[in-house]
Amino acid sequence: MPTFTLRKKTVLLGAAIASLLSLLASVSTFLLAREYMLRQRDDVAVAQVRAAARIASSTLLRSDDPLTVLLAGAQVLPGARAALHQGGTWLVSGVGLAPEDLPVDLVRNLETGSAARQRAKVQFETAIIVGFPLQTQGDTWFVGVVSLEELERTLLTLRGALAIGAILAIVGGGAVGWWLSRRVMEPLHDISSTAEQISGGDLTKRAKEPREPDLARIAQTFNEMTDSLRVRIDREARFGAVVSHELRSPLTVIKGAADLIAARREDLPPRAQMGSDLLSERVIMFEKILNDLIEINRYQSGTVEPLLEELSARSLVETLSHRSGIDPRIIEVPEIAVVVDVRRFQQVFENLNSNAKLYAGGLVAIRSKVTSSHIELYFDDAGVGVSVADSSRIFEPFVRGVQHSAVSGSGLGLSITVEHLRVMGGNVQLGTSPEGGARFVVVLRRGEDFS
Amino acid sequence: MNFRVLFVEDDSKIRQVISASLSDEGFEVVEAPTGEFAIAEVDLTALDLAIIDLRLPGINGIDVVRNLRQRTTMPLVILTAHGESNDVVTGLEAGADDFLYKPIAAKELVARLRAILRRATDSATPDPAVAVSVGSVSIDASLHEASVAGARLHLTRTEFGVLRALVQASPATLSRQELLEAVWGYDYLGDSRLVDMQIYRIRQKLEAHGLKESLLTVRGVGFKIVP
Repeated sequence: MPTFTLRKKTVLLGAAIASLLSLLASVSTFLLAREYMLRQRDDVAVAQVRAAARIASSTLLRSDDPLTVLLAGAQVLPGARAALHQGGTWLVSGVGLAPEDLPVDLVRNLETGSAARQRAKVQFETAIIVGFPLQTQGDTWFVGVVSLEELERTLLTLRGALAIGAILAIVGGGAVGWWLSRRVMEPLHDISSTAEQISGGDLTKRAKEPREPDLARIAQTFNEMTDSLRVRIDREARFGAVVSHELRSPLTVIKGAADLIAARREDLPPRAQMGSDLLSERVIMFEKILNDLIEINRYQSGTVEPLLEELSARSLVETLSHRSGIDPRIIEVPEIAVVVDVRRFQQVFENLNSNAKLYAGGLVAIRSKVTSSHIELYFDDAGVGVSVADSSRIFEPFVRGVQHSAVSGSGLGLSITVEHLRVMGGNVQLGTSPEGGARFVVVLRRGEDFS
Repeated sequence: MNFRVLFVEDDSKIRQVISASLSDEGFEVVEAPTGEFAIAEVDLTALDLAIIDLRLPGINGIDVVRNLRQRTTMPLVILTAHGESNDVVTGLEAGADDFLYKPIAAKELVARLRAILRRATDSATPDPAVAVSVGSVSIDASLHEASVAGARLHLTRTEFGVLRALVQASPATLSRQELLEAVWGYDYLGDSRLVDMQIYRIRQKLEAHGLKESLLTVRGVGFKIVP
């Protein structure tokens, strides 16, 4: 049991590939953009702080006041905060900056006399901190803290945009997959539903030819196949009709002649009597086989219209049993309305009865079981049952029990039974009777019960 | 009394052998090789029943049935290939009273013809109520006549048989199977289309006499006639 249809699979695969690709693209775009933007921002910050440090440095030559020095530097760093370290103490400019916020590594670098920069969180916001020593010797450092908050916001926006892009890509991928699969699957669906209709017997149906050349070829080939199939079936049906009609007229004459002879049986010498008996018997069989062939031919050419009516199951079975000389005491069938084509059901009945006679010494019971929508009639015999080897094939045309190839018949009886019951909305199955013989289960639709 | 049967069949060998079988059983057979021949014969000879093969050269069997129906009340029996359902329906619509499948066995044919003829001309059948009526519909079995409020109803033999069975059973309802048995002499498995077609025709004739709601269908049961 496949859980997913081909179409679903295509859609899912499309969506999966699209989402994977878009995810990859989004993530790498984001990382590259972030790295590039941060480096740019770093460089700018370093340049700004370096300029400020220069100004602070030149101010330091003129003034001893650390505040003046700091402010001179901070002045050229708008929007940034600054700090000055001189003589072991920190002087800070800008809101919310404490000397402890400065990264230890950065301070250590400054202590060795070299400039340093570092990204760090200062008061909960990301910033780049750049420090320059103002003198070649000593502990006077100028530190600028440039906020990266704006950049962070930009990156956040970028991330959002990329995420939306990724989602759109996934949905789009799914949609494209759906569209593609529709494009591909629809003609195939059309072909398969047409094939179903054709196998249901409607040979006039043709698949639509799609515009895509590849798919059109499939539809064309399919239609060509159906055409040739139809021609063949028509030819066979015509052949069957002609043969059966042509056989019928001579058979009528032969049968009539046989009856005329049989009516004068008493006047015949013994040898001629035997001949007359054989003739009569074989003519009846010949007629039965001819009728079976006509019947199956009609099913194969798909021209069967059942004549359905509602009758009492019990009366039906009783009447047929009476005709076939079956003991009415073996019938266990209730008064329930069933939907049947009388002529066809009669054939089904007679066929099952004669099979039971031929292979199993006759029916021992006609039982039944009623369900809410159907009635099951059990034709039970007490023979040897149907062998496993036969049971799978006995409903096929021209198949007879392997041990019974000497038994005469067209071999069409059970396959006609299958078809007859099918057009009545029922079916036939094989089981085992309580007597250990064969049980043919005939399922019929229930009608509206007679009140 | 010997029945005279018209047998319309183009195959001379079939005509020969069936005629011989029917003669054996005491029927007088008038053979007709074509429809034209049959139509002419009806005017020349007094007949009790016609058997018509549907496949004929020249005028086809259906047209022969239609023509004969207009000019005679005798039972018309069509011969058709086994299971040709459409033929049966068109034949009954054209006015046939019964059908038989080819190839026919002489015994079966004789039994069928006897059953039909017994019903069609059954002066011998014990009949307690010779004249009965339901509302304005009256039946006179001895004269084989039906009338509505005194006006004669022109019915075929089979239509008369159906109407008489319904009038005699009234106010009870008769099922299709009961009608098949009473009129056609079939057992339970007769073709119910035979009944439906006759009911349709009788209803039309009653309606022509202003009786629209007289012959009723009782769904799932059958038919009954009410005043």
